[in-house]
Amino acid sequence: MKGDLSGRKIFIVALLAFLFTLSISSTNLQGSLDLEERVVEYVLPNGLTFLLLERRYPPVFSTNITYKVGSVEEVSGITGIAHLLEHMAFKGTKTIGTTNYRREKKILERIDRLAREIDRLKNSSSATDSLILAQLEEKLQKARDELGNYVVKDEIGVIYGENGAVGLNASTSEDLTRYYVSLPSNRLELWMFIESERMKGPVFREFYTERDVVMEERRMRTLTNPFGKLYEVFLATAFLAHPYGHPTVGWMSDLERLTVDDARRFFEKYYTPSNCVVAIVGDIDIEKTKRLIDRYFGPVKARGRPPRVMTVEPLQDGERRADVVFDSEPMLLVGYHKPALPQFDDYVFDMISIILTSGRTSRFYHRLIESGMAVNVTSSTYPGDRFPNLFTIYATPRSPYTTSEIEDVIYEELEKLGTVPVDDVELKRAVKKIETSFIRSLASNSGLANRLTYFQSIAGDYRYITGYVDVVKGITKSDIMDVASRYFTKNNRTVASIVKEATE
Amino acid sequence: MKTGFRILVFVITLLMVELSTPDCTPLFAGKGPKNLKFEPLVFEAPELEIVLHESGITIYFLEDHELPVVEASALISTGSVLEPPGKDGLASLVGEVMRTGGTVNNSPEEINETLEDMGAVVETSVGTWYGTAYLWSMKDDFEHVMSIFAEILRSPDFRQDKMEIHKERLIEGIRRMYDLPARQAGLAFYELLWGQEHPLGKLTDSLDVRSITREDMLEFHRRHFHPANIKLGISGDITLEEALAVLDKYFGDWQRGEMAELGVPEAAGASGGTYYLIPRDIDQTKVIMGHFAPTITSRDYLPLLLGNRIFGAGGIGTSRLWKEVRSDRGLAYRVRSSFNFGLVAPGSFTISVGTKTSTAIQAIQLVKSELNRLIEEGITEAELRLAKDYYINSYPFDFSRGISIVRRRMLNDYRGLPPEFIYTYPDLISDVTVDEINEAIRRHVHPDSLITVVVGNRNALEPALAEIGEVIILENHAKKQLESSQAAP
Repeated sequence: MKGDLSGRKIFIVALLAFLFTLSISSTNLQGSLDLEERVVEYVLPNGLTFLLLERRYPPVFSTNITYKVGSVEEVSGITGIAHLLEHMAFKGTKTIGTTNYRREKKILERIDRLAREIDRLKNSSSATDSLILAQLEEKLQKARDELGNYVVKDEIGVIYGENGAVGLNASTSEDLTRYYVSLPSNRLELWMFIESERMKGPVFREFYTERDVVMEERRMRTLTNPFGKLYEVFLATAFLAHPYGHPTVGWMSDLERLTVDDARRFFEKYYTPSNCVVAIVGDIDIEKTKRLIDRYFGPVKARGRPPRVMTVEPLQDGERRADVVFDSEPMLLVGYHKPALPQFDDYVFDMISIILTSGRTSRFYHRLIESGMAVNVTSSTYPGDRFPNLFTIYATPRSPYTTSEIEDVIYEELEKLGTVPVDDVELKRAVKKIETSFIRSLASNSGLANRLTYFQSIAGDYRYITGYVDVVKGITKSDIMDVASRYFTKNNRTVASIVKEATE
Repeated sequence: MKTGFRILVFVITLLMVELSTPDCTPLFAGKGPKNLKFEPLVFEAPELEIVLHESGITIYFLEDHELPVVEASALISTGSVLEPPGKDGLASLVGEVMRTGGTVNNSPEEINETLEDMGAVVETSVGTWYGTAYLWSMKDDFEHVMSIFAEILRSPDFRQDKMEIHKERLIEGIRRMYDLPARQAGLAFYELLWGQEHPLGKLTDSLDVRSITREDMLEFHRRHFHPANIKLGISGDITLEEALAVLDKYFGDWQRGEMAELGVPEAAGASGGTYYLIPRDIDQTKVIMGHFAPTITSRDYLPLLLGNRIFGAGGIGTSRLWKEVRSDRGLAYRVRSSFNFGLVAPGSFTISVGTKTSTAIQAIQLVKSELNRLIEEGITEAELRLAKDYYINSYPFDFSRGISIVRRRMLNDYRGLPPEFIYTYPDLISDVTVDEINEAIRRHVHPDSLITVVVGNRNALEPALAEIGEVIILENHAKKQLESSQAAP
């Protein structure tokens, strides 16, 4: 391939003349669009799957480590643990974040005992308990001060930062827990070391302060954010049985009682190499990378298969409605249960979403935004893709229109989708948007790393991405009518709205 | 002019040497590998072509053949700071309706359908200090999409019915300003900083918005949208010759016009040292405190950028505020400081934090004591090293995509930074000393001048704040705006 720059960096001077006429990148155009040809899959004996993709310029790489575990694996009493565990993954390991783990371990155990005692007593109203509590708090503070002698604060963040890491972060959803970072390409081994260490096992230092941080996060995202609150109630109303119904950030009363043991057990159960997919995209040499992977990630011990979520949401047999009172202007969420990818109906829903809300030619743009009824309408699949989920429409009404009037228009349009074939033009346009969206996604290392790991985890095969366009090209008008009429029924619908305090 | 390379041999041997000398700081404090060797990173930052087009538009160009795509990004010297008095929202509306209101030759529907049929994107907007226009197109459709882009820029029609829709949308936006308590705190802060009548502090008046006419919009457009005011960046699967040929065709006969001058009157805001409490029944108190900051052309720009990263803007675990407020004490999820360097007018320095009601005062006092400590003790060499290494080592990321390189360069030029800044700033950062930063902090950070806005539970916070300073309650803060936006059209 023209312009391949692998392994030639040290001879760059000799190549200058040749390179001088080139621009930012001159990789063969045809090759660059064919993802399947370029991705190298590498699976270790312990089950850990790597997806490697070379993209030579600039000399940087992006990574994504995705575990197939999310809040959907939680049960009542430990909601929020998956997300808190993700926070804890930044606190270090036995080798990173400490000057002496042996000594530290004893103090950590002491802190854990004290914190659990405090948890037991903290909501008590008795005077004696308050006295004991004060003493416990004092002991806890002393232990924390002692711990400070051995802790190297946030060492992972510090080491990554000084080595030019960009986008160091992590996220937890209902489905997945994901860790990402991008680095200059000569830092590959550094990344290998840190991440293989993390994978072997975090140390739960500063657990109880981090628990406080997560409670603040809940306050920020949900308690003081109308959309957050609305979304939380919406999910809890739509899902009666399935764990998609509880919030990823966790219920406050559960957060207040999460322990190091909870985190450790959750980690042991779900953070196994076979439950993990890693993507490295950017300026890498595939063979060199594989050798480093063998060296650093090879020794990570395989563990048993994680248990599966067995609860199935029963068929919804009646409309569900919920109001959420918040001091803000109204908002509306409407959801319909649907199957998840890679079922064919899910592809059809993707097309429906584009036809309804994508761009200024979309149906809801005409009927709701241009008519002045709403200022914003979007549609998508919530809350995850691993299990049957919801096709969701979100609308922000424009005063004086009410959420109820918006609902009427929405149901009219959904009914129409089920009885009147869409135009050829709409279908064609939707496919075109999907095609160009795919091309756009190829322009970013981190975007590619995210998409590869996402679909490898959820669909079991990243080739879901490369096969996608062909499937949607085959969707017909009657497919759309069929899906719309089957799923957009009143009985299958959940509706939640934000309402202000003083009304009705 | 050929597209060439600026060879910036970006060697990290410095770091390598530090790692392997015996009395250096090891990479990991504990048992981690002490001597991970990093090969030198040779990085060639591409050079842009900058061409003054015959129309008067300045073109910024960079080829990028990875994908069969062309992108363009325009930067226009305009903004809400240039709105005539009594016409709040005019700039923003022009930015919106340029795109949605059709052109002299094409209806809005035709434009939308044509673009979406090609999977292409054209968008426009006007903000406070500049306007933007964006284009994304498959290579084969580039000329067609550029013709639409040019028409939108040159001869928008601002069709009456589209204008009316967007006015009402803007007003709905005003009505929803305080839906998010955190946003309410921010808006209140800027009102207090600049003054309620000042263009940068005032909240958009719905009655003003309703009074805007189509003639107002045409006039605003005529005044500011012309070649002398436009920088146009292009990057993608195209040569400069090809790009210029297309531009000649659609912009060649555009009258140049005069360059706009942006500016604002003097601030007329509140003096610092007071707590402004906005009562709101929420469990997490939102605090924002700050004062003015210099413009980006100040000699203290890079020292303050580094100092701010150390104090409160670093990534995970790399700032003082992160460590003290979040990591050590679990008081907040979000705590950060920002230096927003101004364009022409002063910018702002702000610290924001959100924490539960019972720890609001503790958090405020902790942040303030950290600020005082920063001024009294200054920063350390170790902190500076970490901050510098971040900027220097993450430098290649600035060049990830052709269009981002081009945009960054245009914006730097627009803001008055030196022409070679995107290439020279790692060296400039490297040269900054601890003393320079400490002096810059002393010059520009003044705890006594802090205006502090607190949004939260009145019963708990009013007495608690009164114990640590002067408190002014902003009763019914949201009321005035809501009333004016409630009025029917």
